[in-house]
Amino acid sequence: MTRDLKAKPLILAIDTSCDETSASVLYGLDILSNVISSQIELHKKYGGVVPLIAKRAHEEQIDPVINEALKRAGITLKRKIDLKDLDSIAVTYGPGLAIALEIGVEKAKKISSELDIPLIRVNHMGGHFLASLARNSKSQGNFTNEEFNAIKFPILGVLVSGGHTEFVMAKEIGKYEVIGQTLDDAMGEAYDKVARILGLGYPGGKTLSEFADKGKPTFNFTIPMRRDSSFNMSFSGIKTAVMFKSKELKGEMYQPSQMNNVNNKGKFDVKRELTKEEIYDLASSFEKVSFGHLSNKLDKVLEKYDVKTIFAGGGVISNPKVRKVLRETLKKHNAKVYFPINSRLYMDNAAMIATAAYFKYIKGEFVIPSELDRDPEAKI
Amino acid sequence: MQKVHITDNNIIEIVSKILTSGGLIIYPTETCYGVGVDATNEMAVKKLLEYKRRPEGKAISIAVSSKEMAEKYVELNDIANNIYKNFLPGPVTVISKLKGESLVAKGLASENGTLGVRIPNYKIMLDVINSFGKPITATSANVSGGKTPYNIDELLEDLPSKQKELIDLVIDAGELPHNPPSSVVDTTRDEMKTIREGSVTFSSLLSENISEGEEDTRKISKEFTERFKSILNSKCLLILFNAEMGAGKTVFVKALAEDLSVKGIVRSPTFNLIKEYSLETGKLIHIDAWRIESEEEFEKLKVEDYLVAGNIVAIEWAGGVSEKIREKYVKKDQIGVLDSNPVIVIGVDIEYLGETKRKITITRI
Repeated sequence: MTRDLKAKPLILAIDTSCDETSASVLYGLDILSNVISSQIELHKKYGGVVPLIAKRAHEEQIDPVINEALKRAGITLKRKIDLKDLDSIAVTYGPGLAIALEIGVEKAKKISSELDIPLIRVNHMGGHFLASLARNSKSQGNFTNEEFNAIKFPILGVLVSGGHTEFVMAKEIGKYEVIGQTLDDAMGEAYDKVARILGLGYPGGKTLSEFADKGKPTFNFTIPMRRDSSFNMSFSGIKTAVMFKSKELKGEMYQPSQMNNVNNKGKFDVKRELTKEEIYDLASSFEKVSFGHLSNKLDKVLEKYDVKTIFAGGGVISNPKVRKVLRETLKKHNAKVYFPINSRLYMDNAAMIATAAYFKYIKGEFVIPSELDRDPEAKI
Repeated sequence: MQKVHITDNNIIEIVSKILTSGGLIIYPTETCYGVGVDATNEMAVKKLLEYKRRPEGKAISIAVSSKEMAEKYVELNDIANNIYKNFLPGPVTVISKLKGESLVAKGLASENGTLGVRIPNYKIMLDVINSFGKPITATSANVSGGKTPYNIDELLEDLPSKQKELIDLVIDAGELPHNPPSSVVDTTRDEMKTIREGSVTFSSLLSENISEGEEDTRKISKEFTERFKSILNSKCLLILFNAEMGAGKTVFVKALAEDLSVKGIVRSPTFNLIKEYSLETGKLIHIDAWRIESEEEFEKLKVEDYLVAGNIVAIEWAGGVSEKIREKYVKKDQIGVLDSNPVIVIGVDIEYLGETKRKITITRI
């Protein structure tokens, strides 16, 4: 493969895979801008709280977000940047929500055709995988070109987000195989759902993690799939265990009624709310078992595969405790884990898409606009 | 292979002659094309079993022209009498106990000595059976596992040549309306039990089950899938879950997908909102409205576009956001009558009874 990272194309990437609309301009692997809709002030009219419907209004947001990305890239480069300055346009074609993906794909096709610049299609998960390779505008990142060229493949991707939790093995950049994944809920989804169970609202994953620091893991939840030899995971059972425990504490578990009456839901114990301490401890216990599960499965992967370099990505990895778990687990196996260089690169964003697109650009992997279609179930 | 059209003259005589000589016919009904032989002729039934390539021990129903004819072969209890009175002729197969000394050929009744009987609501076939004076077999004309046949040309195209050679006569009625196969109800137990759902549904409460754990939930889901699989030929199945978090909604959908041979892992659609999988008949659309905050937002998902025949649309957290869909497709008065609604709406309620114990109630809504 081409590993010459000296080429510095100017690439605009778009990601509209689910909730966010994002656009980013990269110069080589250097991020000139990375605009994410929920993080800019398009939502002033909602008074701060952004309803999901507004977040997901990709159609309204795509143009302002692209314009903002170009504008900010221009500020970084200290010269005005226009669509016609681009060397290529890249877009996420899947996986994701069809009606959201469509918007980005159509826009990218239009730009590619109108300006006659090559179009690159990027898998969203492939973007998360390579997010650790993106550099800041001063071209500083995890690796210099020389260091990058010295990396020994395969590389393991640990991708953990609200929608995905998977182990991906890369024989080379762009050649991926999912070796293990969640069979039900993603880890980030479990965070948000447990937060809701504990009354912390949605999305409450972050609050949950903060609360966990105030408590102790006093509830003993079982680590799932310990004896299972695959690298697959399951977070749904952990969520259910927390649900049941909280119902038990609240006195919500009832004796089923003998009466055949839909309105008679059975006999309840005295009901009460969870105490603060119980919430802290449940949160802490949830994190302990989730980390145990992730680390246990990661151990299994490292026992089987001789892999020394790990790229981590996805929203859940932005949790410092998760990063610590990964570092410690991988240290045992003499493997080193790399993380994206800033917080935006963890979440769904277009800079990671532009990063993946860069490697396709130097290999000349372009698609014909009329032949590109979104694929909500696309495989990495 | 001889071919006649339902409008041809002398059709009754032609068919009778072939049936009498042990021949095998393809015939139209109000559901789909069936394959018939003289149900009292052992050689003819052997030929039919060879045609269907059905594993031995699986029962095959018969078609009669009247309740009186049925009573010569099976015992009709009160439940059965009631169904004959109210729903037959029509797309319902009634399972009853065989009469002491059975007159039907070996290989048709079940191992437990029960037999499915139906009276097709198709004039020309009622005349044929009446004139023939004996029941004929009533099973769809496709080989086991094949597509439900609504069109002779398509059927013949799908059939292996060995099967084609076994056909003596085809009665062509053109393209039949794509109605699901008949509902199959078992009347031999204390309580009537629907084995297969067709366009006639007998109760809004389809089943009430206690699940002791995931394994049970999977079993309940699979039984449900078996029962409804056949209507996917002509209808869409819309499943609305009503359950708390961790109740086992995704477990239910996973088992359903497994039963319908979906490839790949069915994961929670919470983040993605919609996940799609391929089915033989169309798509399995798995939707999670947990993150949806308003009716307006739900509308944007364009769920209606997915409500087409052959698709299963399973919606988790359907509660507050699917009012319009409910209004459009849920019609309570359609229970127990021939249902022309293109979307069959099923409610699956799952209640916590314990750490792993759940009550799963399935209703037609």
